[in-house]
Amino acid sequence: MLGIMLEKLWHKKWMNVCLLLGCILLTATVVSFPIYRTAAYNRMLTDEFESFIVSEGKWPALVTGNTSSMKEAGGKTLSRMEAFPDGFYEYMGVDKVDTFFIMNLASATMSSDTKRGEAQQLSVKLASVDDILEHANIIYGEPFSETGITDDGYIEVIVSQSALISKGVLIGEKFTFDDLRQADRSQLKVVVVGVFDASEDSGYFWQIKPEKMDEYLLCNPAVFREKFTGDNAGKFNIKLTFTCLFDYSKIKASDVKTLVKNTEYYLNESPYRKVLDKPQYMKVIDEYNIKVSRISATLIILQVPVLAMLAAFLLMISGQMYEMEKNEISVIKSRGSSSFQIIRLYFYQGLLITLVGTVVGLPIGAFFAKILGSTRNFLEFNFSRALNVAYTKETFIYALSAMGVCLLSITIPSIKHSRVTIVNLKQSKALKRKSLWEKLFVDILLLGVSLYGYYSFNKNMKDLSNAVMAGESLDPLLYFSSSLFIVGAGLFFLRMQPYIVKLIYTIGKNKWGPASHVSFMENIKNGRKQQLIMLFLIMTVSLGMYHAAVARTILSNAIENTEYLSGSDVILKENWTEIVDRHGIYTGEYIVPDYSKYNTLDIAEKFTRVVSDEEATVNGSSNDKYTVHLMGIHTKEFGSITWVDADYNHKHYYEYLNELAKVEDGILLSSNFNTKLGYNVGDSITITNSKKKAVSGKVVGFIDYFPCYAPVENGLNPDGTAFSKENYLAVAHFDYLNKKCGTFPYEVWMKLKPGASQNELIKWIDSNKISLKKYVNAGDRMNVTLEDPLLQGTNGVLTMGFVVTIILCAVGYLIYWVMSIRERELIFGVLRATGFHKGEIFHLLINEQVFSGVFSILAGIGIGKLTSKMFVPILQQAYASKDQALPMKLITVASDMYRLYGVIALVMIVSMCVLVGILFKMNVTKALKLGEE
Amino acid sequence: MSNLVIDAEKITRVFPVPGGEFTALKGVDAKVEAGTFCILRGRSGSGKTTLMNIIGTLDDPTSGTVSIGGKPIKGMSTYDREELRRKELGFVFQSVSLIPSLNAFQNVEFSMRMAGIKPSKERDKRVEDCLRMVGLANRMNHMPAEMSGGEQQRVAIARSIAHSPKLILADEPTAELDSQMAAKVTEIFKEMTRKEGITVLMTTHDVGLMGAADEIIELENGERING
Repeated sequence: MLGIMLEKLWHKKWMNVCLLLGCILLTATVVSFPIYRTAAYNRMLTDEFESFIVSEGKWPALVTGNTSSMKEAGGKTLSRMEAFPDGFYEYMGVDKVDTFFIMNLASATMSSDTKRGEAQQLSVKLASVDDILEHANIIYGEPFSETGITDDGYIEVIVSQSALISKGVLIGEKFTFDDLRQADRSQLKVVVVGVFDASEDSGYFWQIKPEKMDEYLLCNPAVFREKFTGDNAGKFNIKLTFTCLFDYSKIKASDVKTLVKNTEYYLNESPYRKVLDKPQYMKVIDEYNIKVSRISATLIILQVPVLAMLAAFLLMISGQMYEMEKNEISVIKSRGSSSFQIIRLYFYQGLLITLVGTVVGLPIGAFFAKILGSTRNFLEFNFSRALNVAYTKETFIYALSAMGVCLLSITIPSIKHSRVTIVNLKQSKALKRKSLWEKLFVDILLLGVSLYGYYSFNKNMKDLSNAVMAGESLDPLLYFSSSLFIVGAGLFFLRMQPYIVKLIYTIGKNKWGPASHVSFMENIKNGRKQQLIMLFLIMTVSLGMYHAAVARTILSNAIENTEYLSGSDVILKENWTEIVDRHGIYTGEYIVPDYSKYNTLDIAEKFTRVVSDEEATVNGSSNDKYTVHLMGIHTKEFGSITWVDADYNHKHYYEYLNELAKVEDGILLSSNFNTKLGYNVGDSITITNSKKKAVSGKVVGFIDYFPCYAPVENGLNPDGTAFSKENYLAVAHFDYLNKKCGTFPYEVWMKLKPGASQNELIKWIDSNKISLKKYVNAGDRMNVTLEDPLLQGTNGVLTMGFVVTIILCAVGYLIYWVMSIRERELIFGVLRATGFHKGEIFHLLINEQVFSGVFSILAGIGIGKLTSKMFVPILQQAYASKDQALPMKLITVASDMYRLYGVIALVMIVSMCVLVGILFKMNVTKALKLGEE
Repeated sequence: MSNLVIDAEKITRVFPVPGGEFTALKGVDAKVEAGTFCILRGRSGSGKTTLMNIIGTLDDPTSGTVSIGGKPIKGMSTYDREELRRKELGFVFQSVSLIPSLNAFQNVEFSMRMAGIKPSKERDKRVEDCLRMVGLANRMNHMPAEMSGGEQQRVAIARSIAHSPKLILADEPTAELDSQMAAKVTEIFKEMTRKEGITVLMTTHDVGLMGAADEIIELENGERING
């Protein structure tokens, strides 16, 4: 059996190499998905945690609890709490970073032993922080000693700088508590031995910042435990707060479920449930989970057509192979082999190919995943921040299912062919009639279904984006509608294709030479044999075009939107100190920071001051107030730093700025002032800024889109429903606003020189000791946008899908033609013998290629264009974010199309060359001999 | 002036084979006059097909000269030979050689297209006549796959005469046919030489058909053993 099998494999080695290629690609595509997903999710999780640190300034992965001992005799609660951190790290399976454990007695008063004149009774909390000396620097005096108590019975304490100032204690000063006594009723006495501050490397250890510890006297934790806990616990009310900080970077996407489950156990079931606060990381994970479900579903949906094509490819190739082996099979059968034996032979053969395919496919899948994670755009890669890919259990489950699909695709056709005997083989040699799908009108059916989908999605476009905003994934039906449309239209073209050929034939009936004549007749009579490969071509081209348009549109819109909302390369806003009057009341005047220092920022090409007050108001007609974003700009400088694409406004953005520039008290308004509030050009408008100072001006124009301005804000209500809200914008002159409303803390918008690095900017900020209130860096935002796993994954899947289909198509096309020439070798020999010139044979083949290949490609281009026009505007709703400010537009980039055409042309040329090569090798007399034997 | 359609003199054909040479034809002479039904007979490996290929301009002799219809083949370009084949020669092959995507009528018509005969009523009539001659006038619209082997072979014969060639080369046209059908095919060839003045050179090893021949060329081990 094995011998027969190997011999068969060798005999049809090219077919088997193709099958193997199909298996490898299928396996690789399938397994790349879980690999990419795991790696991307890990990265996304880390990013979520890190963005939490950036936005909240806190460690994201921590659990906090607090309780009071309430003078509980024996101190069982206390000792249980003491045991919490270690148990927590172990149970949760997380890596400890720090445990912040603070115990304190209730606030009590104490008096200085020296009875200093002005010294009053001081209200303080005697406390201890575990491991304090590892996370603090003693800046004056000494730390508490190891015993923690002086020889004369004073408990040594250290205090923070803020306590030093607010309580006015001195180092070395001794105090005695007025009412609070030790367990044995003796006086409780403390001596301040030192002042501490957080050490530089203490990270996020200080859950209560030393600056906020102005009431605390911290003693040696051992002393605290000895004096106030254990047997003595019954006499003191001890407040205890602990925070367990663990390493978020070690948490993988696969750990999330367990992490949530264990956290929920702690919060809801464990004995600690009453003392624990709901940790912040649960919110981070919620956010992460929403993204995950959306991405996961979207990527699967996008991959389905590619997988379907892969399976179809395997079916096609194995079908072809059986077609070639028909004679052999029928001979084996007539010699008494059962169908089962034949199926088994092919099954083993398929199993061998599939196994090899899987083994090779796995590492290629990992490589695919890397490519997925490096996709910057359609067919564009950037490997600078590559994903860390790894196999997981999931990968192997996917690999197994891929194997199953491969094996089935290879073996299924053998079931059909195993029934063939010589007798019915001869009978079936009659010409093929209409295909089943043609008789059943599958094309019309598919077109109908997809058009219905198109119609209903188009009608409910708004619901679609709302659903997406509410965290739902892309509706599979939407994507399938477009795929079905492509298949349906492709099939419909195949139905029409013979008529088109016939029409061309009829038009020039009397002009065709013998070569053209044969090729026309061949196509009209036998064209149906090519339907599968033609459908492949059509789908490759149209899916390629459609996917390029989807990827381009989604990404370009996201990039443009990010650029637009960022306003300029960098926006800085310094913290301004507001001047306080004699009574400590804010005056509304500021110490204006030095603006000239920006001249020393070499990397800035241009910069300008911008007043941006998002809390200004304008009165409506009936006493209602509208919030307005009031901006004050230097028109010329502002215009040279910012940019709005000409398509978005009626006139060019600069023309609006010019109109504003002409009028000193001019105000440029957003269009909704005109449409919703009824203002007109030339009207006077009064706007009150957030400091309650009013400014009046003359309306000079209405603009739809202005840097940073989102006309409509979309978002989610707490109940999960989506809302959209009008935003109003008013732009006046910077100087005019200053004159009318007084100085207002301004932002500095700047355009960086090409190639300027962010590090230089940060260095400059540090060296000028600028304290920032706002920092927007368009580059950072762009990176976030580009690395959004949904966008990146979409681009990656579409790009990879395209590459895979191109490979399949090239291989499939080549195989089809090689087969078709081999089949007709005898006829070509006859034609050559009867005097057909070589050129005529080429002519014939080129004609055939035109009828099938070129026609399919043209149809694919048309269908791809149509599908893009119809479905991209709907599909991109699935990628809508709440930050989307600009209207989405369909983007196709000519270079994508050229690339696509280039690849296809290459495929056609290569297959043509191979065919010509085969023909040249073909010897006329030999071809005829072939028929004689 | 002689009226030789085939004029082959001292044809020798040597094929290189692994480890030496194989001489398929050893100085064979063949002269056939116009309107002759000539049978080329001999056992398998006697050199029949080699001689047919050389006369059909598909192969060149190692030595010797061939003229077809008075035109010497030697020195003729590939293109001119192909023109000669499509205009002045007709071929009938042993196995099925019809173009599967053309029906009987179109297959016959095709040889006329090849010979450069423009479409016309006369051309259509000629096709019908040829098919009638082989007894298939009623099956003109049938595809090759819908016909039996003998019927297909008869269409091939009709095709080979449609463009009125000077010479028809038929290589074992009866090999796959039963004796009755073989006799019928031979009869058709014979009739063509009478009616159309066409020369037919047919190979066969069927002794029963020899009686119909005007002339017989017999080969054995690459040598002519008669004439």
